[in-house]
Amino acid sequence: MIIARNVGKRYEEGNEVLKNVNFIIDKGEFVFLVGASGAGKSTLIKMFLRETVPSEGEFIMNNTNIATLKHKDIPYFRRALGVVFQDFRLLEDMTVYENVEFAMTIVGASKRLKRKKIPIILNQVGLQSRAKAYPSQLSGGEKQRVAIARAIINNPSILVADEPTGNLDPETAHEIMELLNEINKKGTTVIVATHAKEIVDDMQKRVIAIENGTIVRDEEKGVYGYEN
Amino acid sequence: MRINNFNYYIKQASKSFRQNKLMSIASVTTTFAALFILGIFILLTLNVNHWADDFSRSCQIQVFISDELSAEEYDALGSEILKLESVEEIEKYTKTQIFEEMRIKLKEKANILDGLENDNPFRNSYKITLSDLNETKTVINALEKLDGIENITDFQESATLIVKVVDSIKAASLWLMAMLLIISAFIVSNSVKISVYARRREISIMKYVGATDWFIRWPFVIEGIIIGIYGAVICFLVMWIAYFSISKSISIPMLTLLPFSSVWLPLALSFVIVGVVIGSVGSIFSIRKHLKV
Repeated sequence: MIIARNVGKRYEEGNEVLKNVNFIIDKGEFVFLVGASGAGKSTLIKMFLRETVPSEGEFIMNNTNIATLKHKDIPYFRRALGVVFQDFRLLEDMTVYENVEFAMTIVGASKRLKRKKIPIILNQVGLQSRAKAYPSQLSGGEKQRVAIARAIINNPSILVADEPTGNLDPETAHEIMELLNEINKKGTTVIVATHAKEIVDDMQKRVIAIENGTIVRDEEKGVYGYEN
Repeated sequence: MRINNFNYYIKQASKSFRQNKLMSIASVTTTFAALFILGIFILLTLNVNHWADDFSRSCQIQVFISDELSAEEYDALGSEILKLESVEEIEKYTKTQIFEEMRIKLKEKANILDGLENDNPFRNSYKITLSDLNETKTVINALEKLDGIENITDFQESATLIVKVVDSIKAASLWLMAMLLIISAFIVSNSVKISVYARRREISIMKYVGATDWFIRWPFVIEGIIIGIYGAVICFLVMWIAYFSISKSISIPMLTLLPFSSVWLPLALSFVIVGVVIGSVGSIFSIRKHLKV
């Protein structure tokens, strides 16, 4: 469960990017975060990843107040999260298999577990035949699938995707969203920040809209609500 | 360090070392240069200590004993001298020994000593070696208080001078070594910084996936250690060859160099320890900034 209670964020320069943000995201929910550029979406995403902490209020994820989390405990907190970025952030000198394996190495997984789990995940994201390919040999959609495989390999309870379809054509974007939906159906909480109007409108999921750092709309089965 | 991850750390470190070939070579070279100067000072210090030791042996104090003392009293006086602080050893040097040595030294003129065998003009004596040349004056003061000593000869001025020279060389070496260590760590740190920069993307991904700071640090620390060890091994080999040729070509009496067999161990140990320390410390400093994600 994720609880934002009166969350505010003010940077040292004085500009206030989040004001009195309140929401509760239950375990297993699928939530779209929408809003124009500069509305405060990125700051909120940074809070989910514990890259930044609120200046006011409380932000609690998996029963942890992110503001009081010690630096040494951040890695263990992040292991309960999966992250997907618009620019994929794959390691170019590693194969598809190695990119996914890398996330398991970091958490100290055994070779046996890696050999067992990686093919299953690659199969789930539809890349079983591309295991030996390098990112430069993949299409945008395939790259994002690798990034998703890497994000879910350690069984996170929450998956945060920041503009996951921003670099993809509409058809591929739909495929990626469908993949995220399937992951959500298996119990993972999925939070997607996006500008993809069609996808948000089609999927009929919960939508949290932010404008000028404040939540202006929080609807079950919501729509994008802006013109692209 | 998790054993599961050890292979990963080594693999990443060697990969990075190979990928940044030019910078790695530059770092090994600078580490080599710093260690080379360090090596010169280690060898100099060891040899100067050795020469100082030789010199202190030749800087013995000689005390001449009154003829009025019986043989037993002569021995007893020796025991008393040996009890004095800073006296390392004493050597009995009797007037008969002196007479015989004088006869040998005088060669063809030795006949001037004829007839003096039963009326030996020399005095029984002791040659005293000190454990610390700084204490020459104190020991002489103590000797002057003992009964039965007629005369004392010493090399106090030379002893003081050599002590001063040795102490200055040791102090200068220490300062220089300390400075070199800092400079070398700085150079390695800069080199590893380039590797860190090249892998900043990977580091940020690692942080998001939940890597601990040490998981990220280890490959860079190992890379720094590899640089340090390469520098140390090359430097050791070069110093070995240089020392061997120099010790062969130097032929100043009293200033013979210690054999390499008695200097290689402190040299090798210092190189490896210093190489590893500057490599790892340099790396830790260079990656600090990138861990704040």
